[in-house]
Amino acid sequence: MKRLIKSIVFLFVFIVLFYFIFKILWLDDKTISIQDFYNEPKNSLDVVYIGASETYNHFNTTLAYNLYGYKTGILAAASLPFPSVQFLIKESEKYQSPKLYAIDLSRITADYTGVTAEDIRRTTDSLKFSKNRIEAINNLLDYIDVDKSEYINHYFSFFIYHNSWKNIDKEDFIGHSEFYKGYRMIKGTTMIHSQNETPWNENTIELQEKNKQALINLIDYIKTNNLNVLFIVPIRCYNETEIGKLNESQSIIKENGLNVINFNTLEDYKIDYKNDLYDSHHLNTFASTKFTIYLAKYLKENYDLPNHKKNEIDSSWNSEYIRFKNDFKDLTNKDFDKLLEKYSS
Amino acid sequence: MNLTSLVFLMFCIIVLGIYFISPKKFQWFILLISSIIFLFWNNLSISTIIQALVVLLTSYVFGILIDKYHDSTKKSKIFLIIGILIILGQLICLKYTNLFSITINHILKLFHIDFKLELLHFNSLVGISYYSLIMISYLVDIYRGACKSQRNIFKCALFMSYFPILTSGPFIRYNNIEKELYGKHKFNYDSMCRGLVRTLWGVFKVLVISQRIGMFVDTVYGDLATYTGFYTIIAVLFFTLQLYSNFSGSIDIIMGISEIMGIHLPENFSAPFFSKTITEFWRNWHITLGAWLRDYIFYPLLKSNFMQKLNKKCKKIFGKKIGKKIPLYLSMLIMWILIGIWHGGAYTYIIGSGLLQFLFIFLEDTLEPISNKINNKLGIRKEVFSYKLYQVIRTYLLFSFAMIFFRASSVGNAIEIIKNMFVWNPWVLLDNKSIYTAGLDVYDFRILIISLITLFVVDKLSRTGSVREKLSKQNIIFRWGMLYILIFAIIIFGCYGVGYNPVGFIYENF
Repeated sequence: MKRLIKSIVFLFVFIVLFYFIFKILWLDDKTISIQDFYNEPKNSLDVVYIGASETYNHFNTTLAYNLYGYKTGILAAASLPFPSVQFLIKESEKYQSPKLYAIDLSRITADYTGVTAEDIRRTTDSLKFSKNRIEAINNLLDYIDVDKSEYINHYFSFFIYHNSWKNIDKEDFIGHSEFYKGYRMIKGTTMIHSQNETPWNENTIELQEKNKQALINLIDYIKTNNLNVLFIVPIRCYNETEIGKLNESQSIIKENGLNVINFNTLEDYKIDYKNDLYDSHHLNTFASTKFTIYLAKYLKENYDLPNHKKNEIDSSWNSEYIRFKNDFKDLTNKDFDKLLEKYSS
Repeated sequence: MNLTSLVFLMFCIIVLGIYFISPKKFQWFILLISSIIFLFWNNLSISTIIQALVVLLTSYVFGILIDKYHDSTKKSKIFLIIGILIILGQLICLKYTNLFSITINHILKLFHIDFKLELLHFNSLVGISYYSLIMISYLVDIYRGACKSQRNIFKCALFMSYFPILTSGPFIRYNNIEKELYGKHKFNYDSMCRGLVRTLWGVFKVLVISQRIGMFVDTVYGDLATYTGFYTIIAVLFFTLQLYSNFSGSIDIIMGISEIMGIHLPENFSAPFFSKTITEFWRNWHITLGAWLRDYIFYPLLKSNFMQKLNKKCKKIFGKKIGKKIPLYLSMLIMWILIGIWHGGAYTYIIGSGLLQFLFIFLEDTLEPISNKINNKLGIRKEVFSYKLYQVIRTYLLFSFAMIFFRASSVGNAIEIIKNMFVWNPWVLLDNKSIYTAGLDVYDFRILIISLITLFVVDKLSRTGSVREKLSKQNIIFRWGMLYILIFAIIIFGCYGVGYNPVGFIYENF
């Protein structure tokens, strides 16, 4: 009996140590916005926005809360492979019952042969260990034709992250987050990189078979589970092929009776390609504020989202908004409230 | 199945689980089934089944026959010779045909004869060199009356294929292991703890030290045009350490797993890098192979009629002192050549782990009186630490030099490496950057140095008794602390997973 207790204590201490050590060693990637979603209380989110880096860089969730009082969670990672979306919705369903799922459509244009195992890791490594995570790994690795012998390294992420001890720094111990309730402010040496606009057109181009199948599966899942979904085509620079594929995707979505909003073709929302972009894919922080103002209002008006601020201000959302504003001032030397007033008028 | 792979870990957990929950009288049968699975893992074919059956049936049938006709020395000797010839014949065919072909081709080339024997690639089972020699010693031991033959063919099969030893040994003797192998074993908490600690220590040696050194050695040996001079010297010195940590680490894993099951295998290493001579080194390195060759090759050879006659003749011609040494050295030379051949069917092995080792031992022995005279004249004291350190370093350097051939892809390649060692570029050690371009960065070097110091401290401590026993006498906080450090050192600093190419076990193919 004494030995059994000793063994249990030994194992318990091991698990605790393992947990803390791997928390430090765990992937320190500023291009994944999933952890903040897990930090939210159960069934507290009104909107869950899923997608690639355009999602967490464009939509300021703390600002949307401050403006309209609804809470948006973000599940996003840079270069997110499109088939991930379905698994992220499934993950969300385990913790939240949002009134709306907003889905970034931009990655439907990506050629699956260009998607890397690294792109898949960004999504799957951040998911909590579960059946859904295993299914996501299997599905996504199959999507890019990875050898089955490699799967084990994706199931047990410490097979890669144990080696990150070489890159540990002070921040890994302090745990400072660059995300504000899922939103991440772009911090570049200069926040404006002038881009050339490819005018939108109505041409359609057939989707790659695997991506088309992923979209059809997603639509089936949405319909089967009776989910309220809005597909979003974010504004950024696209080439002719991407425009054609996005038009094709929008047709499929609309044929299935689902909603889609294309920010590139709106009459009342435009961006200045010379001043509003950080790079060809991302709005800079000023433009993301304008984007948030528009989308937050659109969602509020069209999806009957609650205003939690009416009853009681959520201190965590409020403090994150204040942290964002302070960091914004530190970065740009500008007062965010004044900027907001200017953009809102 | 790599001994540090997850597959092997899962395999062992399942085997151990079934082993301890099954009725005790069937435990040996569980081991047999596990060994068969291990033996044919990824290599199940008609040819590999036949290979295993040839050795099994030969040793089983001839073992019984030798035993049966034990009183009739002549008959039992004939059965012994036939049995050995069959097992050895198959081993030579499968492993050493190409050595024969290469030799013939070289000779033909020498005489400008335009004919080439094709090199053949046989699909041989893992551990064939181990289990073939183990079964030969089984037949010899029955012949010598050291043990009785095993009448149960399945038990005989287990002795031949006991899975932990198939990859890297150690060599087991039937009379030493019989009782434990077929015995009934209750789960023992202390054995499990001791076995686990030994296994973990083995995994540490392989994943943290050997694989890490391997990254440097592979880089240098893989690009001889770029990496010369001190890169080569370090790679040569490193390879010996890689080989040791890899081989002794795998032995620790094997012995640890066996210990959990209540089976105690013979030690194969005893801190060899603290040896002062090559002779002493080989008493502490691959101990069971050395003992096998001594008992089954060297002594029988030395006692053979031919050597006895040679002894008499040499004494007459060269005098008693020198004359008696000639058959001794000849027997040793044959034994060392066989050690080289056993390591692999290539001249690099024959030179590296055979001829050069013999040469060093021969020189040590013959030059010792001269060396003693010089030391006496110069007043050099042999009992002081500095002299012992010099001897230890000399042994390490000599062994490392021989291992150039062991590691090289061909004799020509080994000579190129030796030439590379004389390129003068000491700045690669001094400019603080260059040395970190050969597969290991500064962090890896730090971990490697700390790990090697740990390895040698443990080795040194082990010379005065079991380190695990010493550890078990400490307080629980210290004990657990050391264990956690060991476990997390493996998990964090181990070279496994994405980005690492497992080297495998260097001795696995023998």
